[in-house]
This record gives sequence, structure tokens and C-alpha cells, in this order.
Amino acid sequence: MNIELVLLVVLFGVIGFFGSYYLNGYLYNAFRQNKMYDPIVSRSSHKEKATRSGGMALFFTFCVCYGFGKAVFAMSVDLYALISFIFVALTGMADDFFSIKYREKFFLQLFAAIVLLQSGVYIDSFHGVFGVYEIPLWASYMVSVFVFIVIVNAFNLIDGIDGLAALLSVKFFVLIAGIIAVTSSEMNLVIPSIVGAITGFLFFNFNPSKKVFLGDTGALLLGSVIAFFVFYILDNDNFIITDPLIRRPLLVVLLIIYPLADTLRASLIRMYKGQSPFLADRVHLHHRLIDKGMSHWGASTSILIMSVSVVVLGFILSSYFSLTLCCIIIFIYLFMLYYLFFN
Amino acid sequence: MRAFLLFLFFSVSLFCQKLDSSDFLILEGENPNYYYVLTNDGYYISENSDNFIFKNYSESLPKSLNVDINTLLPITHKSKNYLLYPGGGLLYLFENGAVKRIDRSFPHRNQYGAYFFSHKDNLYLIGGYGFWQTKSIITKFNFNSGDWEIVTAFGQSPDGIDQGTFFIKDDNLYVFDFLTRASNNQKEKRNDNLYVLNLESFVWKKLGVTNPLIRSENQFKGAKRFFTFNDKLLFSYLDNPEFYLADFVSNTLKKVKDEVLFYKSGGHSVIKKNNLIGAVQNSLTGEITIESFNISSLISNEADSALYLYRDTEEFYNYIYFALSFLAILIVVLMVYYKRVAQTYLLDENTISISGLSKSISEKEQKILRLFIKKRSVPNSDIMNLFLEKNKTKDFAVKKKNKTIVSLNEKLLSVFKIEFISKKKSKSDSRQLTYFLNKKIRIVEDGAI
Repeated sequence: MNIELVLLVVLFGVIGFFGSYYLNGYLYNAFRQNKMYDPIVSRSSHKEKATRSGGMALFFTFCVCYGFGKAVFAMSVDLYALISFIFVALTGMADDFFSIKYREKFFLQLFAAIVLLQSGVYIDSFHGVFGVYEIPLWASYMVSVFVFIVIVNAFNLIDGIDGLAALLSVKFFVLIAGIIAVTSSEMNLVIPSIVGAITGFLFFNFNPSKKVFLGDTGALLLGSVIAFFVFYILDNDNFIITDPLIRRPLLVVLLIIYPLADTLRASLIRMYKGQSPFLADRVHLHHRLIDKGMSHWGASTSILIMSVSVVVLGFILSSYFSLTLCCIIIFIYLFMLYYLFFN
Repeated sequence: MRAFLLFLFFSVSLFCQKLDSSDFLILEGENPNYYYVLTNDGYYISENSDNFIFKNYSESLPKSLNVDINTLLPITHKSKNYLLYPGGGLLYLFENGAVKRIDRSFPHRNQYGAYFFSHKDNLYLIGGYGFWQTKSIITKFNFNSGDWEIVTAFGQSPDGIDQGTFFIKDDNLYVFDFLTRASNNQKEKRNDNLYVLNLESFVWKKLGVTNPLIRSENQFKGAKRFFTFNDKLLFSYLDNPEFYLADFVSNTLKKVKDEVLFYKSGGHSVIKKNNLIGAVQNSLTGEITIESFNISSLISNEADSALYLYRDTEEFYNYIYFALSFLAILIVVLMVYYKRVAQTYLLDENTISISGLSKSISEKEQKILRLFIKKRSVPNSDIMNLFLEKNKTKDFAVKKKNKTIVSLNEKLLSVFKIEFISKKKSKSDSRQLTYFLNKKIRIVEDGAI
């Protein structure tokens, strides 16, 4: 084990945590003094006064950690990826402050996706799904942009109850940290910084007396960073340590199974009712848990544990069965979870 | 002194032999005491490490051998020297000073850059590049028919193996650092995984990702050389003054500084005893000499610490355990925190609230609750101070205090379903009263950090 790397990971995790904790407190005070609380409407799951400053705190913490890491430890993320993250975060801030229209937000996300593609990290292979491997460049770009939009919005949509988007993001980053640490020495300090920052935020998110939400800034920012790492895993040029264990597309889907499944389900229900699939309502799976009487904490941790169990099951099944059989068994497992907990 | 320095300089190379042309091939030879250098005109034989003799071929070279000598793939198998035509197919035997063709095949042109090796009784050719695709096929030479047969392999085989690094140990063929081009419209790219092929069952297995340190930048023919030395793999890259010593059993990689600048040499090299034999070209005169370097002393000059050769799946599983443990600890810590803050009531000027539930309270009630923000127990005297009035008796104040607290408790119980304040008498003095806030409750001022 590389002790130096472990110490650096701990250092950046601690900097991220305390940086985020301080900034969340500071921004909460600033928002409160200006009475900038999140409005409580019929769809709201909260009844306390809360600010939407968590995303900004995350963004500034990430900037601080990246600046420190870049200056001292050669931490590096591709410039285009950084520009894309910053653009997405600014889009989120604009939405948090002025509540921009969905169509405008969509085009801004599209632009961020196109900028991200310039980093050279994109989905250039289906890795055997439907028997397809390498795909042409134009198809790579189209698929990557589509996946980016889906992931970013999926994380935005699940940010409906306390801690859910943040905990599922922590799960994603913690599980892929091992992959990134092996394949990219420049990016292996990015993940502890983000995990530390999200953990610092969670202490405010669950606190009723000083409640802070991720807001669109946080949800979109986390979604875009997650989309980037999804591209990184699916990019054929990167060699991933999990290749002998599990197929990359399956790994990626399992890592973000809840946001994907929930968004797909919610969109299908809305379309079935003849409504816009982008309509904001309370048809999400986590709302069902809340309506059944669970607390936000209970619902978020239950979903986290279920989604971790799906990843573990995927790894175990991949060692013994083909991709198709794995998918079938995982589908059955997901339906079981749905009927046991969400029905 | 001068003589001593000259001695030191020449002691590095045991002996050397000048060559006229760059078209030659060093052949390991059937005897540990000598090796061959084949050229177009004849061959050199090094006897007893100090004598270098040139001999003409006893028979003229076969007509089918229409390529440069240095493009042939040599192997010593069962004390016989074999030479394979580039791309596979034609096989020659170098014996008794003559090169004879022994196959009944044709130039396959299907496995350029492949690895030619012997295992037990057979000669194999694995991987290579041909007809615009990299190959991972394994062909075996049939000594009876003189043909090459394809060996069927199973498991997680790579899409193609071009310019790979190979190592054989205990019926296992390890392959890493190679190029792959699975289809015509794809550009060739480096595969950084370590694969192992069992030479008994012919089952491929992917072991993990190799150390990024050994990913060479100069991935072209001749840029890399690898040898088996003391049951380990010794390999080096052109223009890099370092050797790498890979131990597949202990999964370690060591860097060895090449102090004799062997890395500047080129072409095929062989290991005889503890000597590495290769060709060195003088950059000024262009003169090519065959030189021998004692590498046992080189190997002892190891760099500080051993690095990992590859990250295997077991290591990833260890990481996953760590990741899951981290998530579990995070949940526990957050749960403890949540339990603590979940019963936090917000107190402002005229309401007390929690998770959407709120209750209006009077100014006096607000002042009583405010006393419990900083401490969980409040002496009766502190609460009494809130009710004492100039023109009223103390008894009146006591009654008013008691009534207010009872009323407050009932009011809060009806909304929040929990009793807020309880009172206890002191054990030593029953007249001394203390009011306690319920242990499950925490009161904070709205917006306080």
C-alpha cells in the first residue's frame, strides 16, 4: 500500500470536509440575513426554513481543494472538463437565484456537454452491449451528450428529500475511487475532495435548525462530475481495474441505478398520464417512502443501502454469469425491492 | 593508473566482435558456452567466451529465405536452433552450419510481431499483426506434417497482441504491454492489462492492470527487449537507461539503472549465463560490434524499493471492502448526528417549531424556554426571576410560574407529543427545585449557528 497516497487522500478528504462545513455555515448565515429561504410549496417535502446554498459551498470547496492540489500535488483535471463543471455550476446558481425556464436550462446543459466532449473523454464504445463495440465519432458525441443530459437531470430530480442526492453521490465517488486511483494519478485526489465536501454538507442538510439544500447548483454540479467519471469509465482508451470482474456498461448502470431507474419511471408515468415528462411532481420513489411515514433520513439511507446492495450483487453475478443473465437477475432483484419497499 | 583505467573500461565488455553489416542475428545456441551470430555470408561462433570464429555456411541459404536475416524469429528448442520467417509459416533449422527449411507450409503473413516460443515438445507462435488486424491466435508447428495448426483457446483472450512482452513460468504464459487493433477502422492502441494463458488448458485469464511505470512511449519494433533471467522477466526500452525486473510470483517490479549504457544498443539480444549479449553501434563511426555485459552485477544495483507489477482483482476487492466500510461508518456517524439533531426545536419570538410543526407561545413561555437553550437544567430561582413583580407577592409569582409551566407543557405535548419540562426536588433540601428539559429535546434559537 502506498502510504504517501493514503495520507494525501486523507488530507484532501479532511480539507474538503472542513472547507465545506465552514462554507456551508457561512453561506447559510449570509442567506438567512438576506431572508433567502427556499420557498415552501405544495410539492415541498420540508417544512423548515432552509437555504439553497449547499451547492455553492460544494463548488467553492472544490475550487479551493483543486487550487491547493494543483499548486502543491500536481492534481489535474482536463481544462475543458473544468470549464464544463464551472458552466454547469453557474447555470445552477442562476436557477437557484432567478429560477430559469426548463428549456433555457436544457440548452445550457447541452452547451456544457459539448464543452466536456472537448476534454477527449467520452463514450466511444458500447463494450459489447447489443453486440456493439467501437462506434463512429459522431455517434460517440451524440451518445455522450445524451448520457450527460440524462445523468445531470437524473441527479437533479432525485434531490427531493434530505441527503438522497448527496448520499448517492458519495456512494458513486467512493466506489469508483479505487478505479481512478489506479488509472489516473492526476485525478486520484479529486474524489476525496468531493467526498469530504459532500460529507461536510450532509451535516447541514440533516440539521433542522440550520437546514441547507444542495439546490440546482449542487445537484447539477454533482451530476456533471458524475457524468464525467461515467465517460471516463466508458472511454475505451482508459484501462479499468474492474474489467476482469464486471463489464463496464453494467458497472456504470449499477453505480447510478437509483437516479436512472427513478427518472425513467417518473417520466414513463407522466407520459402515460399525457403530461410532460419534465413536469415537477411527487411521483418519485423517494416520495413514496416519505408518504409511507418514513423520515427523510430513513428514506435516504434505505435507498443508499439498496443501491449499494445492487452494485455488490452485480459484482458477484458477473463472476459467474453472462451479461444477459446478470441483467435479468438484477432486474428481478430490482422488482423485488420495489414491491417490498416502494409499493 | 592509465593502464588500470583502460582495464576498467574493457572489463565491462568481456569481448567484442566487429560486424560489417547491420543484417545479422544473434542466436542463443544449443550450448551454454557459446552462441552464434548469423549473417548473409556465414556465421560467427563464440567459443569459450574469448574466441570468436567466422565460418561459412556448409550449404547455401534456402531460396525461400528472401528476407533480411535480422527479421527472422529465433528459438532454441531441445538443443536445436529454429528460425521462423517473419509473419509465420516458413520454419528453418540451423544445424551443422547450414540453414535448412523444415516446414511444408507457406508464408502466412498473418502474425508479424508475434512471439515465437517453445513449450515442452512444441513450438508456438502467438499474436502478431497481419491483414490490417492484430491477432491473438496461437499456432503450433506440427513436426510430423510440417504444417502449422491453430490451437483453440478459451477464456478472456485479448482482441489482439502486437509487440507484446511475454514471460513463461510454470506452464503459464504472461502477456502485457501490447498493442491491439480489433477492427480495420480502428487505430492501434496500447492494452495495459496483464493476461495469462495456461499452456496446458489454453485458457486465457485477465489478471489486472499493469503498473503505469512500464507503459512505454516508444512502442515500435525493436524498441523493447525482454529476457528471462533467474526466473524473472528482465525488460528494457530503447533510449531509457533503466532495466525493469518483474517478478510474477511476488507481483513486484524493480527498476535497475543501466550503468553500462546497454540501452543504446539495438537488435535482437540473448542471455548466456549471466551475460547479456547484443549489438552496439558506435554513433561516431557507425561501427557495429557484438558485446557482452555481465548483468548479475547490474541486477544487484537495484533501485530503492520494489513497486507493484500489476493491480489484481484481489486488491480491488480489498478496496471495495474499504469503500463499503467507509460508507457504513459514514451512515453510523450521520445517524448519531441525526438522532441528536432530529429533536431540535427552533425557538423564535412567538413560536416553537420542528419539521413543519409549530406552536405559538406567549412572551413569558418564550423566556422560560430560552433558559433551556444553553443548559438542560435550570434552578427554580432563575425561572422565578421571570415572574417576580414589584407590587405582587412572591406567592403570587410562584403560582403564576407553576401555572405557566403546566400550561406550556400541556400545550407542547398536544402538538409535539412529548413532555418538555419536568421538575425535581433536591435530595438534601426539598425546598430547592430544579427544572429539567427532556433529554431527547434540544432547543435552539432560530437561525443560530
